[in-house]
Amino acid sequence: MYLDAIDQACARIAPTWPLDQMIAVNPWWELREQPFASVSARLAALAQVQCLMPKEYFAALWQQNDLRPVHLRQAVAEGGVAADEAALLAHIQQPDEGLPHWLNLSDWLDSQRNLGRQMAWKDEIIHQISQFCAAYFNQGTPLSTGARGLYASWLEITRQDRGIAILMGEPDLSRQFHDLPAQADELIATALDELAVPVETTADYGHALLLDINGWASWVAYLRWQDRLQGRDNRLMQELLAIRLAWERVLWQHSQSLPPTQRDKLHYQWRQQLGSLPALIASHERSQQLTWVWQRAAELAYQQALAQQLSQPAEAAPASAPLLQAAFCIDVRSEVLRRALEAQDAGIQTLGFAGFFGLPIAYQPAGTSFSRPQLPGLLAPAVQVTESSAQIDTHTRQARWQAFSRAAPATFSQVETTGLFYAFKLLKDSLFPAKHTHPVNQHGPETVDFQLRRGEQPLSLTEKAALAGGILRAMTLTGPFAPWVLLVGHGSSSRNNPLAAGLDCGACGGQTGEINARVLAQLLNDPGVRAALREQDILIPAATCFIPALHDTTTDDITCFATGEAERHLGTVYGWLAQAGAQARAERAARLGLSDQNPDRLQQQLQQRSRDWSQVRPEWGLANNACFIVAPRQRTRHLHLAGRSFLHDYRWQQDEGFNILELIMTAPMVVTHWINMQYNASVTDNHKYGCGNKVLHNVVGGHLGVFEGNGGDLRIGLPLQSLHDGQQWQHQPLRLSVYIAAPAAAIAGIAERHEAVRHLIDNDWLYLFRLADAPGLPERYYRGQWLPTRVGQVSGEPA
Amino acid sequence: MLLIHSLQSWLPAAVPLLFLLGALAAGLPKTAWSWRVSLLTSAAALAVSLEVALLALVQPATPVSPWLSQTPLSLVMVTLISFMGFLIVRYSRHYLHGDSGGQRYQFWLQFTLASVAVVVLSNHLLVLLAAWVLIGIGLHQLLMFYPDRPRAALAAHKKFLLARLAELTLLAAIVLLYQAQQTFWIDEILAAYRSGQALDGYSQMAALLLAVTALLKCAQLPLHGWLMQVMEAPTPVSALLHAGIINLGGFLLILMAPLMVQATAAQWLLLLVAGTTALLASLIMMTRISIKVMLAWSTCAQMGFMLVECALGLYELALLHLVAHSCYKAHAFLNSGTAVEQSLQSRLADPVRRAGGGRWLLGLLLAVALVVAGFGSETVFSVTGLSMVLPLLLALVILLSECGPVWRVLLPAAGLLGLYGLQKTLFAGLVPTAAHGDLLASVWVSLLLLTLAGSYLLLRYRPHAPLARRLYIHLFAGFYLDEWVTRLTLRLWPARLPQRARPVQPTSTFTLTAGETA
Repeated sequence: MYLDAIDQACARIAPTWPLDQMIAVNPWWELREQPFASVSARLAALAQVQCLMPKEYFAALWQQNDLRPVHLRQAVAEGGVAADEAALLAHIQQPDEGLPHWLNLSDWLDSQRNLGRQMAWKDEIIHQISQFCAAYFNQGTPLSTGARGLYASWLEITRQDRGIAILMGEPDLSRQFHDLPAQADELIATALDELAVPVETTADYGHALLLDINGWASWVAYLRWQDRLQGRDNRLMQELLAIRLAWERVLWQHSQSLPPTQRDKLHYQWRQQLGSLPALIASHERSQQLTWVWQRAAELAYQQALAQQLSQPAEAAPASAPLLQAAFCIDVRSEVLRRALEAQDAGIQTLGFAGFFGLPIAYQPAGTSFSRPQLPGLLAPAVQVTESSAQIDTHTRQARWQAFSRAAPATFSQVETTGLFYAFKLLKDSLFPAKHTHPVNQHGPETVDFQLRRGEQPLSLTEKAALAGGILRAMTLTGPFAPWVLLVGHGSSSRNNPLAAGLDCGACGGQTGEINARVLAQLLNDPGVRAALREQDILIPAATCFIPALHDTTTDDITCFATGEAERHLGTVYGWLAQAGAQARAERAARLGLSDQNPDRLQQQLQQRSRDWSQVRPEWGLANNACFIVAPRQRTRHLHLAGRSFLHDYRWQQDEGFNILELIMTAPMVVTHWINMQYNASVTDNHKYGCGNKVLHNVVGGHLGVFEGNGGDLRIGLPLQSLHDGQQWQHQPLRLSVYIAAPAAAIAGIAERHEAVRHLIDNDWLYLFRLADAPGLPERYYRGQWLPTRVGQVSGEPA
Repeated sequence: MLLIHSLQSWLPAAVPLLFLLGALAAGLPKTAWSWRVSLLTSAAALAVSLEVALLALVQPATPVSPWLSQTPLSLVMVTLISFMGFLIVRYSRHYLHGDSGGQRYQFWLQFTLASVAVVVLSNHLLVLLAAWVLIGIGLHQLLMFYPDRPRAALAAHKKFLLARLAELTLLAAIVLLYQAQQTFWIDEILAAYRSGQALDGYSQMAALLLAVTALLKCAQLPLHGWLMQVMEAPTPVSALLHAGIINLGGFLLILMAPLMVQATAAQWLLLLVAGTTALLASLIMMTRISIKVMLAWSTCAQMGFMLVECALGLYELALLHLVAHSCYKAHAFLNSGTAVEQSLQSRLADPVRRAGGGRWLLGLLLAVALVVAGFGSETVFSVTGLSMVLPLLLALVILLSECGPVWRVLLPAAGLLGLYGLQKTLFAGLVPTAAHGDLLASVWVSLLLLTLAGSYLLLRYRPHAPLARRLYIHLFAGFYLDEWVTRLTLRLWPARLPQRARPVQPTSTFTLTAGETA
């Protein structure tokens, strides 16, 4: 019974990816089966987690008139809350009440300690578990290579560690650690029994304990996620929970030696608390109810403005064949550039498609055992891509030098012989920084041939053609084809930035999209593949050339990887790209605090920024993302979406059986939701779900994650510098609004078939709207019903 | 003419003044302006110190104010400080952009730099002491830059107490030096000790206190904990601390070399404490799992090694170590964000093949051959010489055995040897060596280094042997030294730790209704 509850607690933690593959995750993904508001109340009750912005934030929105009475009224009506405007205003003007919340045993003990003279238990426990986990999960330490499990290793280390007892000034602790059972399951059973935790409270108690070490729990969830992609499973999370619970048991035993009055009080409080958890959660739910109305009103304000934009009549499709087609990633940063590129010529057509371009690949530089996935974290790679020109020698040389300079007996002379040379490196890195090059992304020249394998077998022509055909259809790129078709992946460029991968393409597993674009172009330029595609009714004219390109989102420069022959004819295209880049830069510059009107100087400033090793805000990434539009580009081509929209091209008329729609709603929609929620959570609770201040970041285990400062828990999510410019937030936490141009029945059908999708819609994790073919306001799908959008009242409202 | 002369004689003083000017510019209404001023002033400070150093090289007889020191040591130090100062100011401008405490940071950063410059330039002990105290004040403000972080507060608290202790020992040393020589002028004191008279009791005591001051300043065991824990301040503060402040202990000993070479007790204090620190800290470094903490332990070890060199009278090496380490460590900190790419690189590299016994033997023979070729067999095969070349020998053995096929690393190994010889000669021109070749000291140092090599091999090649695992666990725990100190500190002189976001809890009794009515 209690083991089920423990498993439930363990199932509530979402994964975090390592730094070199940092992709966005909704930290509440595993809680999607409950309504967001309940999750929020529960988390607040258990660990003071904030899922909502503070009241002052909404007060400011109200002051600035971003939120109007009509939005509030409508939010009240939807929420079924009995509150008028006055009550709502009074609510946000009251300071937060500071409700009681759940306290783990360590917190109860801390409340009795003199924290000026003694270390807090909570800090010490987090620090101890965190340091141990870092050593355990770091490759190449004596701990990590041991065959012993997580809990057993921890127990071994902790039993020998005199430090904790010394530091905390509690000499009997060592004995308590010796009394702990050797097995994790046994420990859990004993501890829950001694602490008298009832079965119905066990899951929440376990959850509260895991939230203390949420960073490492998320890391363990990542290892679980990877195992599950391979069809395996592990019980690391249960072991991690056992470690945290072991501390509670040690403290419980330790508390027996407190003075009797203190001990009795503690035990009484603990027993009282165990029974009161549901009431505690309910009180938080009540106190948050009106704040949720404000949150909803803020979303309505955005959605209604957008709905009016979207209800404008679409542009007519151009009659003539396009001059240039360019497929971009759905990323919100592409929207700005696409708009700029389209503005260069009416004959330029752009498409939006998930930037891994449908290639389920892992990239492996030849001659190494290193392999990294280049696709969304939801999926497992099926195809290996290798190239032969990787520069292993350089890496080996530099890695050996690193190892040498960290070998204890060599360090002294290493400093005395080569230390002075770092004076030159300091000068060079400060004053004359080179363009940043990523160790894995130093790919061969344009002519390089990428080999595709499935397992050990090279991909056959049929397999390649099937892959290519599927991708083109999903992209709605089945003809007519322009003479030039650009496949534009994207990546960022920043130096000295441990979180750089977070600015790269999430659809490519936190990498740049270069490999994916180049592999797809290679496939589509292959005459054999084209011949086979003809059998699938996709006719690519011989004159059409697919050109891979990379959009540098930091500088808005676009690099094409064209071979000599094609390159000679690309002059006009290069001109367009340069113009579009300049336009996009001008649009984004203000937010970065750059105001130079001269396009060349602006370009230079952005390039300098991307090379600056002290730059903590190379770009704003996906900050302020708010909606995902799945429709033909004609629906949005005339709109200025301000870089807040993910855009996916889709034509339901060409989608037989709605298989592509199903794919979009189960993969890209989930990915965009993850991105959206990562940003939201990092803003509302940067302490739990964001990684804090970049200037304190301290990389753990090479790539596991960062500490903020000396230690503490592993930090996940986004840093403050990616969200806040020092004056204000650059991301407004709004739940993602998804707009799909497809028949109502098809959308509803998919939502019903996929439980995860239905949970997202029905439990308020995102909003799903439908765009009808005829111009008009979108309809919202919610809990099995289609609801009209009521914008009319807004326009009648005095501002 | 007279005016120009007097201006010229005060020229070095422009370095701290320029930093101070930059500090005052922090008060400008726009941060963009104040950073621009700071950049200018720190660049000017660098230019001035380069010019002073060049002038001293070209015209060694340039008159200088008696308050200022113009020894090669001072010039090297002031150039180092202003170089670091300029780079750190430049780095901080973007790094701290948007931080609400930016102005405060800017002020204290440059205030501290100015104080360091005064310390290394001063020819008067009382001025040196005063500036030394000011460094402590400035650094404390920087370490407490985020005052609401409990670990920052704890580390800064420990640091605060130790800094006060170091100031007291320095003050006592200065008083004793005055007792012995009846003057506060540093050049007069040094001249007196250079004359070779036997040390009186005051001088012996003073040397001992100077050694204690250096050990405290250099964060030697067991009072090292704060150094590892000050990662709670922005990265450039770490760079400043590790490249420009912590090594002042070494500076003090090199400065006082004429006294220190005669003070055997002080030398042994250094040998024992700093030697043990170098051994343990470099091993502990290998068990650290986060980049900045690893770098901090490395500093602790390197400072220990530098102090050992001072104790052995190898002042030219100590100064080389001080300067080279500053550059290396400043770069390592400022560049610490590349740790992720470095780990990628090591995963892309050819997998490391564990070297077998044959490889080690070959590496050892080649390294010995190289070292003998470089230093001559009389030096290498004498006990006192061995302790001097042993660190280099160990590094070469590791390079030749572990870091690639012999034919590939032989040339780099020879290159390292050449570089070492070259720089040693260069620095010997700045600070004369005073190697005393004490047999017992050499044996002690050699033993430490061999123990280090042995433990390294054990941990690396037999990680699962029970002994290795026990050693690892103790190293991982840092031998609990800091825990004792922390607890003692909190007991003797409690810190006022900032409260964490305080759990909200009912005050007296917790009842069901409390939850319901709230």
